[in-house]
Formats: sequence, C-alpha cells, structure tokens
Amino acid sequence: MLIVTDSLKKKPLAGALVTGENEEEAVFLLEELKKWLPSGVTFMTIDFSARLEAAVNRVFPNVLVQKCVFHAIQLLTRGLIKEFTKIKKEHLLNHIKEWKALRRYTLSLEKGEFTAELSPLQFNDVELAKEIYVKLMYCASLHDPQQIEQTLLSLFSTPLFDNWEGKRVFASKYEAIFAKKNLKYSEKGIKYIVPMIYKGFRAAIREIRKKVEEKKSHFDTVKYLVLMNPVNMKPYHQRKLRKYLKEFPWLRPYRKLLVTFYYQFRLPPEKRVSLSFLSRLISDASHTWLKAAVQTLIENEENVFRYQCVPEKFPKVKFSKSIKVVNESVNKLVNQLHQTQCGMRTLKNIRMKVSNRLNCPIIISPALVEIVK
Amino acid sequence: MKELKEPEIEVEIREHSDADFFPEKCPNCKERAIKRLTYKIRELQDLGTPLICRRIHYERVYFKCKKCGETFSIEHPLIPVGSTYMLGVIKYAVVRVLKKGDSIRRVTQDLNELHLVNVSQNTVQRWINEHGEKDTISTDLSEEDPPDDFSGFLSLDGTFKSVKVKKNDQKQGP
Repeated sequence: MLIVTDSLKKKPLAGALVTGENEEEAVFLLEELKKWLPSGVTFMTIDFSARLEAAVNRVFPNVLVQKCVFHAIQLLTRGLIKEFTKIKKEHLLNHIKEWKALRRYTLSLEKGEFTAELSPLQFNDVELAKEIYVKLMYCASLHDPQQIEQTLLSLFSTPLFDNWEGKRVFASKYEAIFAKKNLKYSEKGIKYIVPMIYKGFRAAIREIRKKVEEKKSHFDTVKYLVLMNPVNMKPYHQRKLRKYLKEFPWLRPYRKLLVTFYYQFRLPPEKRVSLSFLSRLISDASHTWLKAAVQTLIENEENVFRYQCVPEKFPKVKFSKSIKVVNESVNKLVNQLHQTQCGMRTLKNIRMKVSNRLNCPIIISPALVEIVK
Repeated sequence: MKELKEPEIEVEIREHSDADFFPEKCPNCKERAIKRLTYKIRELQDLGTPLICRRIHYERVYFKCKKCGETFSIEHPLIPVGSTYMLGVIKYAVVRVLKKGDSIRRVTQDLNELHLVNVSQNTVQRWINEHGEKDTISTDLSEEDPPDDFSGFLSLDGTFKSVKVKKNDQKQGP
C-alpha cells in the first residue's frame, strides 16, 4: 500500500492498494495524484527506496526530493546494531561458548567417555584453563597419595597457575576440601579428594564464565545507549553510558562519530560538515549492512539535508519538522487496523477499512485488480 | 464483611408514537379530515449502560382519509424505517469500527455486554458494509473531491501488509 500525505497539514491525502512498492505502481499513484491535485507539487519527502525516487523523478521531474531524516538515522543505527551484534558474537558469545565446551570436555573426561579433542581455542584464558586442567589430571593420575600432594603443591607455585584468573576461586575450594571435610592425602582420602579438585576447577571456570556473561549483558545495554540521540538522553542514560564506556572503551570512537552525525541535523547549512567522516566507522571487517548504510548516506547527503533550503526557497512556508520525515504515523494506523481487524482478506474490505480509518480516498491499481481476477 | 449484592438491571422504556405527529392533511387529496385507523407496536433497542437496558416502544399508526378513504402512515423523525435498532446504536458501531479501528467482534461484544443491545455480528457487519460503501472500487481519483488546502509539500511512503484469503474460499482476494 502506498500512502501520500500532506507534509505541512500532516494528514493523508490519498492511497493506493498496489502489487508492491515498485516504480510502475508508484508512477500510477503519482500520475493519478498529479491529475487530481488542485495545485502543483513542489517538495516531496520519501524514504531511501530507489524505486520510489525513480517514480517521483518520472512524474514530477522538477520537484525537490527530501530523503527522510528518520530513515537516514535508522539506516545508520541498524547498520551499527548489526556491527555490534557481530562484535558481540565474535568476542563474547564465542568466549562463553568456549568456556561451556571446556566444562563439557572435563566432565566427559572424568566419566571416562570417549571425547573428541577440543577444537583450537580462540581465547587465551580458556586455553590457559585447559592447560591447568591437563596438569591437574596428570597429578591425579599418580598412584602415591603423597606424590599427588607434592605435585599439586608444586603446580600451584608455577607461574602458569599464578597467572590464571580462576586461581583465587580454585584455591578457596581446594582449602575447603581439607578444612570442612577434614580429608587427608591417604589411599582412602584420595578417592574423595580428586573428584573435589575437579569440581573446584569447574567452579573456578564457572566464575570466569559468569563474568563474561555479565559483560555480555552490559554490552546489550550499552549498545542501545551508544546509539541514542544525545538530545533524547535523560541524565540517568548519560550516567549509565559513562559507566559502561569505561568497561568498553573501544566503543568511544563509535559514540563520538554518532554524536557528530546527530549534531549535523541541528546545524545551519553553512556550519554543517560532509558526512564523509562516517567512513571512519567502517573497516574491511565491518558488517555489510554498516558499509552499505554509510555509503548510502554519503551518496544521498544532499537529499537528506534538503530541508535546510526550505526557509530560503519557500519563505512563506512555515517550517515544520514533518517536512523532513515521512509520516510514519499513518503506517502505524494501517498496522493497527491490520492487527485488530483479524486480517483484511478482500480488496473491497481493505479499501473500505483503510479509507474510513485514514479519512482519505484509496484507489486500487489496475495491475492488482487483474491479479485478483 | 458484607457481601456485595449484584446490582439489578433497570429497564428504561421510552414511548414514541406517530400520533404525536398527527398529519394535517391527506397526502392523496389534501383533505384535512383524517381519522386514526389502526396501530402496531414495535420494540426498538437503544444504547444502554451496563445497568440500564433502554428500549423504545414505538406505536406505528395508520391513518385514513375521511374523504377519499386512502390509508397512509407517516415517517417518524426519530425512528428509522423498518429497523429494530435506534440510529444511535448503528452510528456507535460504525464509528467504532470504521473510524476508531476496533474489530466487529469486539464492538458486537461491547454492544451486548456493556450497552445491553442484543445484536449479532452479522448485523453489525451489514451496517458497516452499508455505511463504509464496501462495494465501491475505483482505480482513479476522478470521483473524489480534491483537497482545498493542499500545501504543495508531499510525503510518499509504502507499507507492506500480508493479505490472506479466507480459509475455504481461495477465490476471494489476494
């Protein structure tokens, strides 16, 4: 469905039920509109659809085209969300996955099940933990209880163990074996001590994994704070953002560029800078959505900021924010209608309901009528 | 604790009669001598509240001209011809479905439960189709009045909605 709205009056003028958002269908509606409207069209706001733009240029070649500011911001933030999701997967989700894989690996080894060797580990701390586990297993496999104790004690004093993040948790669990249970290194005691050592190791890696999971949840929050327009931020948003940026300092350049981007929409044309600074957001490894978004914004920069020329070109027109954005509230009404009316199954029904709800005429494209026949 | 009594529903009956608008002359011969011939009582439903059920007792009167013997009736200004519902009920349903975007099922439920009007979904559907001019399909805007205060500033946007056909009627629509 294509809907045309009067940007200044903020009310829908007409709509068309069409086969799709393609150039031919948009031309059909615009041609009808051209015949119907009492005066000419001077300014047209559209989203970033190339098909709509082509149709507008065909029917109204002299009209000033404004690319919707809301869609411009949405384009960039969607690209960044994709980029952040990619980063989260690479650095946090895969990290958590590796910790879980190591836990499963240790359990199956202890049960004596056949286990495939862990695939090359991506994260150094997981690799280090695995090395420590292998050494613990070696110690536990010795026959003499006293020898086990000696080897374990010498392991605990190695730099390898000293550098391990889980050292503190493991040490407290190890001490608890002897303090609480009163166990000793003997033929009988070793049967209880060894499984508890393994358990202690798993408790230590669980603690480390929990920290990564917490970091992941913080990242989920901060990624939306980073994307927020500074104008819409409340003091508690700013406090949270400052706090989390300390945890994720590599997000600062993203935030800085995004704030500059938002700022451009508030600047007068003579002070505005080119959007080419956005290319600093992307690298070869960036998500394709982000690359495409930045490229589209740079290419369409002139059309995105077209609204700035309105006061100069149309001095009699009272400037309204609705000039620079497509009227999405109309789409919202159609969506609500679609949800509450339990599906709109026939053309007649859709036309009747949408036309009455939006209080504007709705026509049907001949191509759609043909398909329905 | 005292138990709260379920409040009783009050029935409010209003009476309307064609006799209140007694015709001055015969529509056929324009003679002023007219007599009341017979009558018929019809009950209409009006919008009530959850505790007040509103009914209209309408006396449809037939008159006879003393001169030419013509039997005729008049059109009551408040009572719709042939309907068992007051205009307010129909208007309420039409506005809620077409202007507010509520579903027919929901509006029918509200009419039955909150306004104490006994009405079926099919009847409400019929009202909506009549008032919404369902059968009109146009492929151009020539029949519509152009906007008077067009500013010259337009915004064009598309929204995609998946449209399903009725389960047992594949020929119904897209």
